[in-house]
Amino acid sequence: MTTRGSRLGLFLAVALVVAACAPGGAVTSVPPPSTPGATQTTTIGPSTGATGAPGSAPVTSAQAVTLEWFSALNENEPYVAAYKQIISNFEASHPGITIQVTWMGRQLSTKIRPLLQSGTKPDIVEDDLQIMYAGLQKDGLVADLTPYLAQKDASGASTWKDDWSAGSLELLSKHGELNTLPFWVNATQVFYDQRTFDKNGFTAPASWDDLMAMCATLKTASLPCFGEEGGFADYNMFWMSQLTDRLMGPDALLAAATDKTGQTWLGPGYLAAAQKEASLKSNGYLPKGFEGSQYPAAQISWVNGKSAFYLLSDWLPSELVDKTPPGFVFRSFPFPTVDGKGSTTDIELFQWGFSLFKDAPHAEQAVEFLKYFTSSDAFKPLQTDYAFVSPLKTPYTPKDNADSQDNIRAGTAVHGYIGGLVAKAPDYLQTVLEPLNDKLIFGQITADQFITQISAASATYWKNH
Amino acid sequence: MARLHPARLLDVVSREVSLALLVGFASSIVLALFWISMTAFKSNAELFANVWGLPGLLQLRNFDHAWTIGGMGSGFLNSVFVAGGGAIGVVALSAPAAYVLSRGEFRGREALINLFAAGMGAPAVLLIIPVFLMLNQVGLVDSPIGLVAVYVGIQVPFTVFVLIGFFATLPVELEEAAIVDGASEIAVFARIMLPLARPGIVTALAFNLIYLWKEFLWGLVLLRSQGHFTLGVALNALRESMSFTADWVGLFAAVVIVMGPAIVAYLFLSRRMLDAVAFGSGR
Amino acid sequence: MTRRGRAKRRLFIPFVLPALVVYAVIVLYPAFQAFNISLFEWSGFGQTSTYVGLRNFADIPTDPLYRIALTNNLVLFFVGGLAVFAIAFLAVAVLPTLGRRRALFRAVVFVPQVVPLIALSVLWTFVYNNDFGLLNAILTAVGIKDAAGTAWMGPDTIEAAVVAALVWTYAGFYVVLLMAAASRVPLDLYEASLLDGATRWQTFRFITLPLIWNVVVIGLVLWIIDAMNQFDFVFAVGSTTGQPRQEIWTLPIYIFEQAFGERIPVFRLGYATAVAVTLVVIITVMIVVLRRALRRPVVEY
Repeated sequence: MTTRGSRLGLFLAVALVVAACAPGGAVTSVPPPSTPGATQTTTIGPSTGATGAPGSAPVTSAQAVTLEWFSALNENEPYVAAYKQIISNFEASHPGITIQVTWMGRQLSTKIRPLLQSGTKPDIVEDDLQIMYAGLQKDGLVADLTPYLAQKDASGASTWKDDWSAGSLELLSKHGELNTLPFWVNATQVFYDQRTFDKNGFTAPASWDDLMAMCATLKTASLPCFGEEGGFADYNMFWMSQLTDRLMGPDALLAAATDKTGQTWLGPGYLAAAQKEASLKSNGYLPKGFEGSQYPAAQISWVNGKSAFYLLSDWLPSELVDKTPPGFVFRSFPFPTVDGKGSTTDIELFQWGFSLFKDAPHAEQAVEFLKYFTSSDAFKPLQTDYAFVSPLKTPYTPKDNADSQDNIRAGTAVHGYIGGLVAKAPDYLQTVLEPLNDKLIFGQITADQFITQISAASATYWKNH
Repeated sequence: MARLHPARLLDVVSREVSLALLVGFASSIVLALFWISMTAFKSNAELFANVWGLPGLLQLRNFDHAWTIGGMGSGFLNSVFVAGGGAIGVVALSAPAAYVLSRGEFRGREALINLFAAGMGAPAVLLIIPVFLMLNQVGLVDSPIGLVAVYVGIQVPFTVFVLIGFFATLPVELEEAAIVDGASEIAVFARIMLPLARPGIVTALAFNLIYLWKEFLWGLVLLRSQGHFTLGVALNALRESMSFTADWVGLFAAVVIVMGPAIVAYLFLSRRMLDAVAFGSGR
Repeated sequence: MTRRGRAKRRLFIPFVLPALVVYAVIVLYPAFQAFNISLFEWSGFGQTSTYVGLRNFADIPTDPLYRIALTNNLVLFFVGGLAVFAIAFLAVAVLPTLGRRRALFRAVVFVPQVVPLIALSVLWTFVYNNDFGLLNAILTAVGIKDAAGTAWMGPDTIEAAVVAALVWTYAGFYVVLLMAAASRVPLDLYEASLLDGATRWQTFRFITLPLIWNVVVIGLVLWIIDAMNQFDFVFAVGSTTGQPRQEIWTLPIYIFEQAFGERIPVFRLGYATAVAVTLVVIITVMIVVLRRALRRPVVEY
């Protein structure tokens, strides 16, 4: 009885294994991408987006469509209010087009996966361009926008492509294609309250040493020099990223990170960068307990005057729009030169933008919407109310971010934030570099130990990948 | 004397210390629940002024915000649907199976029981990728129905196992008598065994309800639109949007919404649930 | 074999088969499918997957994050387990003669079992907060002024903080489990033992423990499952950015991060599944070893 019983179990088990391994298992049987035209919306009608100005040629109800837009924003982020206004304005002037936004938050890449293989086809996706590059773009799922960019823009007066400041789109070009439309760019800056400068008689520092001298002054007044969100590894990386950039150039971090032998890390510039990063804590320039601070505690403490400076990308004023105490004046300066090296016009940039899906069922209407969104009047509230710095050629100045916009306009070179590692070596960044960089900035290891350990860990990592 | 006295003394001292520890542990739980409930009615300003202070004006706004903007309202309905549907579904499916498995005599019975038991150890993380792909093919990702199906499936082993134990405790004589009276097998199950097993069924329902009410990982992976979020997933989204709102009191109002129903249910079912754990310990 | 038992064979198809089919579709088939996926390199985007044989498994021994995650699981199992069972044993040793208050204690300590872990995670995040957390508030209130601003969620203490919170969360279940078993030990056995001059510890050690040994082993098996599968609490504690600090990752978190990629895309479905397969093997080995090591003849009473 028992023997036979276990045999039945075994048989079932074997049958299931066979079933699992047979062709037709999930890995091999993912349905092929549906061919264009095979989706439920077969006829879209004459294109209105290509040449139509907003408000003209309203789509008839027979052609009513719902654009599906997946956003990596959370619905609670302050500027979403402006997004909603833009959407309702668009819908009002374009009867027949409804916009359905799913606010997915930063886990968009997690949540979007089911869509790519199920029946629903979204039209538009909005995310961090580095993340998009590493995911959707790399897998060839987003459309080449070059032909659309050659069309007229929403005003009908100029070519759509010319709505961006010269060269800014090409920076994102990949294999001769333009897959993404950046509309929000964020330079890494050192932020401060104008009143801090006034009180201490400071001027924007020209060099790292000047900056450290300011920190020393503040220390005598018991004010921590920098707020720092220690619990957020990406944020801690901005130090390493900026220091290596100034000392050795924008490609230095990526070069070290992707060196399969790990030897690049042993160069003297990296040690100097690590020493300077470690000196922040050893000199007492960071607040007590910053290691455990939970986002956004540190930036809120900072804006309330608990520390003087904040190194971050220029989304900082946007996030703090409704948290800024009265009297606070947002100012920022670029990361200074270090040991006489580097240039403040070399910009570390975080970019945010749209892509259009290759299989988008309503590509024409989606493009029409994108043209509307990127037109300067529609876009204005995001700049004037929510501090967005944009590569779009609009006449408006971003509230609280004028310094950053000036700096970006003066820029002579740009590179992706955190050395572009988010797109080019995300797993390495997350599993090798960030843990050690955390230890460095927390003072758990010295700069020398950091260099030894990162070099060895890099070699091990690349042996396996 | 030197041997006895220290031991005795130690016994008394250690008893008092142990009691103090245990009472402290239990009090911390009561205190935590009280603190959360209190905080949920405060304003953020009051909270940061004094984390221990009582709320001045009861901030019902916190609950309103959590319920509407925070998505806890739809989360609540979704949770009721998926946890309720899952619990009822799995018990309806498992009770007949457990009945036959506990009392039938046929080849492979033990193997089948073992096969079911094996599933209790299968970690969600092992199943989550293949199940995700499978549901994807049939369009049941981001669907409450899909989540209910998963909940039913993953809870079958535990439920079958618990109910086998319950049915095994029921007397055989009643069945025999009914059969002698000419009742069919199915009638015996439906009219006699099921009512007798009611305590077991209710317990299985209660455990599944609470377990599925608590479930987070499957919801997190399978649900993507806010309108479909369960309470746990909605709370997680609210926690992450803290980055933009810093609204701790609203978050604690959401915590109250998440744990309140479970605790109320527990107040009614605690005897039965605790007894069930005791019963489980008799396995 | 009774006639009645045999008669139930006819009930197999309507009664057992539906449950079996659902179970097979949702649990058994995906479990085997997982072994298949673990042999591929696959991003989950697009259609391409590459067969890599056992390479995913070969990469595991030198993966530093795997080591961190597994270590955390084991720390939770051993250190947390020690604390959880110490509390449970304490309750069993001290409480049998406490009467009605025992029932109240049992009902109270079980409460965290019915609360979603994600909610408790929010509570503990606040408890440990460096700026305004409850723990620092308590410590400064009792005169430890240095505690102000301590970052419990900082790298040095975060794992200890998480284990402590999880002990608080889980202990009640094991208290109830063991107390239930102990309550089946006849009360006069305790009283006789105490009258004979045995200490409470001796009574526990030589009377209670042997009699509840089987339940202790069941409890340990359940603790293996709780500790090794820990996801919810760690996922949400101490961060608001959608990703917990790596110092506290457990294997389930690691699998989730590798497979579903969160904010920074990683998307290694094959590797993540391989890690999941090793987790199943580790859990199975732990259970088998534990049962072997703790096997004792059953004591009757």
